[in-house]
Amino acid sequence: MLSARLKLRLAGHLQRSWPRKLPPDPDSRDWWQLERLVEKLHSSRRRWKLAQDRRLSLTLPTLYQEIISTLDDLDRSFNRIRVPLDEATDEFNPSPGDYSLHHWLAELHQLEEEFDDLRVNWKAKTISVTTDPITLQEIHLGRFSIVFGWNRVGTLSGSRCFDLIALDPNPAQNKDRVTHPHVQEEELCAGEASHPLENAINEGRLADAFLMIRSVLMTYNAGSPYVPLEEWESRSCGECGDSIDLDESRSCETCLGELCTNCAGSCCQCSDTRCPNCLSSCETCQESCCPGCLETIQRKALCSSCIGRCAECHSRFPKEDLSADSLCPDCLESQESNDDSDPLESDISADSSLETLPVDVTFC
Amino acid sequence: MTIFFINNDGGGFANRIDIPDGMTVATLFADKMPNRNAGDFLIRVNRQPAVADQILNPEDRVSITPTKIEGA
Repeated sequence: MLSARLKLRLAGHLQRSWPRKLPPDPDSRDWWQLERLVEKLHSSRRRWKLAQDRRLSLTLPTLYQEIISTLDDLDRSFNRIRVPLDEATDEFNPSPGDYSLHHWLAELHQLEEEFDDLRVNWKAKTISVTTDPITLQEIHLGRFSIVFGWNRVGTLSGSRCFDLIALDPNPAQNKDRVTHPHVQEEELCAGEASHPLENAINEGRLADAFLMIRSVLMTYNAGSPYVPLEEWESRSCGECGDSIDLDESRSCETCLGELCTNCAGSCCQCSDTRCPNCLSSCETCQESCCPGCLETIQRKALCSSCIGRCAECHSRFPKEDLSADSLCPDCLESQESNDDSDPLESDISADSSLETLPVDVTFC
Repeated sequence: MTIFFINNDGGGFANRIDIPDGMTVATLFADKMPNRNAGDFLIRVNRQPAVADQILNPEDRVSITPTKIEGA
């Protein structure tokens, strides 16, 4: 808990950090959004009339929903334009920059009550609190530190004044920087909280902003996460990019890349798992082999199944180059040339056992 | 009487509103958040947790914040 003296000092910093009241902006994005919504409403009305004229009764409920949704958006859009105008005419409603120290002390006091561990980093100009451990759909995401940079107020949008730091990080398997379905690189994608968060910051309601961020962290929107929770603990195949369940994951034993069962290959010789990039083909049988199991024989990369030995000279040759009698081309040629010469010499040379005859043996 | 009402649901606005004397927190919630479940919101009166039958006083600061907000 911060001491009263530190809280007072912090309140002073906050008071000075918030911009003073700005006049309403006729070029604000809110006006552009309002005009777009009005156009959308006109278009919906035209289609409604068309559907009614043509008696397309099945499309009417969808159109009604669309119009209701646009009217709701218009209501919010009107308010976004109306509020700054009201504030500009209300001299009793000061901007946060004009708030008293008492206001900021009350904000800090509420933060302490809501979160227990309010901390301040004077050098970084940040205030932080810690959430309870967060678990979404049985995935434990751990605690988060919600860090508010008071020097960002007035320069960055509401949610970007905050960093969300995972204290017990359990990031998505394939994206280390995604520590929560809606947090990437410590930045929250606030979704439905964007406008209320912006308003809370603009109005100096710091505790409300922290509470809303906690609410976003405690909620999972399956519609647009950085990484869906269903894929949180799965991995993706380095080849096809498909997600892989942990029990179906394969790993290339050369480059260690993750592979799905479809993309994982294996060496026909040693049966080790390899990715396609770490496999080559035997030039004879075209079977997949890891480089370690291929040998270059007679300038051909061959698997051991396609390598033979010459029955005569015992040299290793591609099996496909050996004759039916397992002779290499040289030995085959030599044999054939011997066959064509003196049959006796040929017999002598062919019968190696004669080499061991006693020297006094003579031939007739 | 007038209170300062902060609705952090939807657009998230803070406004001064007029309410009848003797209005309770539950009645205000039912009025401002029809068909919503109070259990899904943090309701604070003057920054303190409030009970349903708490009677509101002039210049009270009432804030309603959803406990579940969908990020994107």
